Amino acid sequence: MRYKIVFAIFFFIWGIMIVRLYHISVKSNYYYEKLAKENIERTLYIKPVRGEITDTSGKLLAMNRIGFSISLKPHLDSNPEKLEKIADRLVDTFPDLNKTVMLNVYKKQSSPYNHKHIKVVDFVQYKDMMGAYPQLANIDEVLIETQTKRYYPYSFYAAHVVGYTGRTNSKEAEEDEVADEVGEIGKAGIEKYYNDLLQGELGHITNKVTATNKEIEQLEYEKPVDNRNIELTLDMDLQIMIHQRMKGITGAIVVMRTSGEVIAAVSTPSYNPNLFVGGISKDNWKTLQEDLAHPFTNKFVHGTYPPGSTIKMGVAIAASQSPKSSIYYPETCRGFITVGNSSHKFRCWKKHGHGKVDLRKSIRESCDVYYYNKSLDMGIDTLSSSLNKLGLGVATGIDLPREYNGVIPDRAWKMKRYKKPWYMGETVIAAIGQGYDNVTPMQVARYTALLATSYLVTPHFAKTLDGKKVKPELKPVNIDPYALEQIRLGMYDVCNTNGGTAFKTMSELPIIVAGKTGTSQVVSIGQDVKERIKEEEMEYWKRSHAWLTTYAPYNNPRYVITSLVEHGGHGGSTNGPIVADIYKWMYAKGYFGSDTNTTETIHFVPKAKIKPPKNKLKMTDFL
Amino acid sequence: MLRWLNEQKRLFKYFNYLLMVQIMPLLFISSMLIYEINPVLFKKQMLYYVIAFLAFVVSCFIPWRKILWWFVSIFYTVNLMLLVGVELIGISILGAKRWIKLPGIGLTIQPSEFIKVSVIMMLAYLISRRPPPMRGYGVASFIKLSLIIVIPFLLIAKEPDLGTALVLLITGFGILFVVGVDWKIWVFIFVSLGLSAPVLYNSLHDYQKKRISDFMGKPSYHVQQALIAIGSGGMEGKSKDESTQTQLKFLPISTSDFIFAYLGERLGFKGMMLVLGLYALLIIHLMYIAIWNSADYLIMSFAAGLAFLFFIYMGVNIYMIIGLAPVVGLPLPMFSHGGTSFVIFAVIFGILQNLLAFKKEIMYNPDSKIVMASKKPQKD
Repeated sequence: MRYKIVFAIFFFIWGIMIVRLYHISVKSNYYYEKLAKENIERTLYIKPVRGEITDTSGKLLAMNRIGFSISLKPHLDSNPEKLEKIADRLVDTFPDLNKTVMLNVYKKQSSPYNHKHIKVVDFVQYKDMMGAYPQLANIDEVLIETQTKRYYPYSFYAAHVVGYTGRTNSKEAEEDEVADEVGEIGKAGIEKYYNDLLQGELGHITNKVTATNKEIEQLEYEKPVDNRNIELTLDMDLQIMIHQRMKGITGAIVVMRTSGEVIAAVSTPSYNPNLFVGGISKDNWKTLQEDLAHPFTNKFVHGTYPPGSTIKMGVAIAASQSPKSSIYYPETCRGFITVGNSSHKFRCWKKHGHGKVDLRKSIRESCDVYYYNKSLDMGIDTLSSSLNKLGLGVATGIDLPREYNGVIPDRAWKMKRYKKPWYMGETVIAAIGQGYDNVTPMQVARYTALLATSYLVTPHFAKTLDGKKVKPELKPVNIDPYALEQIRLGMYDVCNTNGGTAFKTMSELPIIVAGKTGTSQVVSIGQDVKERIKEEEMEYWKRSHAWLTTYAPYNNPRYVITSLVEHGGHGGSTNGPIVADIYKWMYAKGYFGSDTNTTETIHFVPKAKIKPPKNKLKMTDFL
Repeated sequence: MLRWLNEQKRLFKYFNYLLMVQIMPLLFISSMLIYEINPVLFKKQMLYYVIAFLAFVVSCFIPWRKILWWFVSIFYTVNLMLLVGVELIGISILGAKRWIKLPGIGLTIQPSEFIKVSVIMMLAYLISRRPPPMRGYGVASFIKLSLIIVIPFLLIAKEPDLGTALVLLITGFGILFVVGVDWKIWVFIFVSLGLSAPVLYNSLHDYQKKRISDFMGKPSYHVQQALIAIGSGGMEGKSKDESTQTQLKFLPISTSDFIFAYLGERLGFKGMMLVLGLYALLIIHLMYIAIWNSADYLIMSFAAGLAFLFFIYMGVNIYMIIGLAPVVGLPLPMFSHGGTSFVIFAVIFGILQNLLAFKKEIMYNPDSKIVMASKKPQKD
């Protein structure tokens, strides 16, 4: 009996053992086979070299500086004295290093299972390392490896276009394997927009290793895909020239070919992108954030401003497309209008009115009343959708990240945003580019190119991507030829006839420029104010934003220059000299080639006699 | 002298050859595996085999039945003193005080290995001197015999070396169970053990508690690697070069405590079943020796003790490798690389062979069959 109990226990225990062994070795064979394979295979990624960014003439805007990183052997923290000694040695050699930070980095990554060297210094410049190398290389625990670091030689001159790279954060690391491995990712500008292209693809080596991570043989090798460079359409010389001209002025300037190639895009003030590489310090970040001129905001795509009078050409086109309004009929400006039964006066900028105003005159003299009336004829929804089609209030599609849409309001937008119905008075305001209207300088540049060529382009900075040419995107827009002609003539007048708002500065240029000024109010002017105070006498923050958007040459438009100066007062007088200087510079550098037109050679007087289509018009439409 | 030689002839006549033959395949497989893992350790292992063989031969020829009456008390006392010595002047390795450094020769010994032999020997001697009555031992004798087991158990458990201590405890009480103790005592012990389990757990060392909680949760790195080794072996096992778990050193202590995992990786489920079968046959054979010799309490105690030793060592060792028991550091008996344990097993086998050869009945009663026949029916 006793032996039977003993044997029963023995067999019971053996039975469980056999079942369990069978389950592990036969049933779960596939699973454990996989784990065994994972054990011996160690994949080392080969980091790709990030592509470089150049301007149109090959000047390096973003490059990889070669230097060194310093790593220490693992498992040193079991011998703190030695670790301290090495850290002291490094600090002696490179006084910029912080010993506490280094030791903390080491302790954080050190563990009994980590058999890799631990990187304690991310980057040491080539020239600094040269003298120290022979001594450091002799220390057994120190490993010095080559390391690249992103560098922007033009610093703040191209910061808003090129952007910068920074350390990959945990969210980015989760989404992007390459960025995770490289530890660096484009955070802004071209660096971010074309990050996938620039960063390349990982290569890898798969090795067979032992438990202590010793390599035995190579199983797989794949080269990284890297060095994919980007050439931009940007002309750095022009970019620098504009920056220097804009010194002390807050604003944005876009110089674009009418095909959409941006050759200069400046947002002032700017910042030094090199501060961000490898992480920006708290102090630097605070300074950037607290600057009221917002150096960190890319004003040509992230700055939205009321377009002011620059919107008027668009409103005119909208009017030409609406059956309820007409551009063939002139308006009479008495200096103000009232809407409905309200006594509220919507004033023209000219106190005593412009008298009889046709389309060309309305642009030349920027008559507000003309547009008040046209907008009331067509209504806000028609106006808004037409303006959207001209590229206002919609993203331009430029190759920069997170571009803003801006706003051209309509009834639905207001209901959604403010839960309130639309008022007639707001239509009037929207027609002169005030109120809810908000656009980016890039949108205005694109819209100006459309007025000049009747093609809607997609602005872009990329000229070649990894050697492949970027094709310009041109979309023809159907615009009433009469309206377009009158608008162009009006814009010609603005720059070239005495009394035009930009005549003073634009008329002296060796090429013929057409354009439009705009003054967008930051604060509204009270009803009781009889005389407007001069912009120069207002407080800075209350001064209007000043616009000037132009294209040239007038009869063969090739370039668009749009300029916005924050709180710059009047469009023409503030922006005029700047834009004129840019045109002069470009002319001197041969941008206009033999294609320059002087006043003598141009015949701009319209020959087309376009009759208003009578059947479409009823007088009641205008009442 | 001549008479002595004449007497020793009995040894060859009554020698249990089958028992020795059963061990051979185990040694063969074990040494092959050790050779594949580390040829240097294989050489050392061969040296242990030689030493163990010599120890076996010597213990075969020692007339245990004649010297037991004085030897057992000295041996037991010396071992107990060594255990106390560990407590006083022992060397601590990894938080456990298990070793004594012998002065002069610089050798360290682990007294808990020797105490196993002395406890089995002491029990066997005491039981043979005063065999249990029909109903089994009563409370008084049971407590007396228990002290022989419990005193060294407590000393070893305090080192701490819970693995060895439990082996001693289970082997000792296993012998008592087989020999015969009143069943009411067993019932009482199991009930009170069950009730006091929480208290016992609290008296464990932190590292022991950690092992138990590790065992309850995810398998530790060691066990995980062992599972991968066994699991990747499959039914047939893999060639030496493909046994990456062991050859590339992912499997820890692969020649000693975890050698069974390499067996699984190298020879697969079939290989493991073969070794398991060999152990089972050996243990069953030893138990049957105990059953067949139930009249001779010395043989019975020794054979049953050896069977229990084998069973507990191999059971706990394999259970811990496959994650069914906490990792307590017990080797696979006569299979793992290691000297002390192997030599001690050899000595116990030698003693058993000697006892078998010089059975009491045969020595003093020429007509042994009659004596045996008259005693046998008493046992169940």
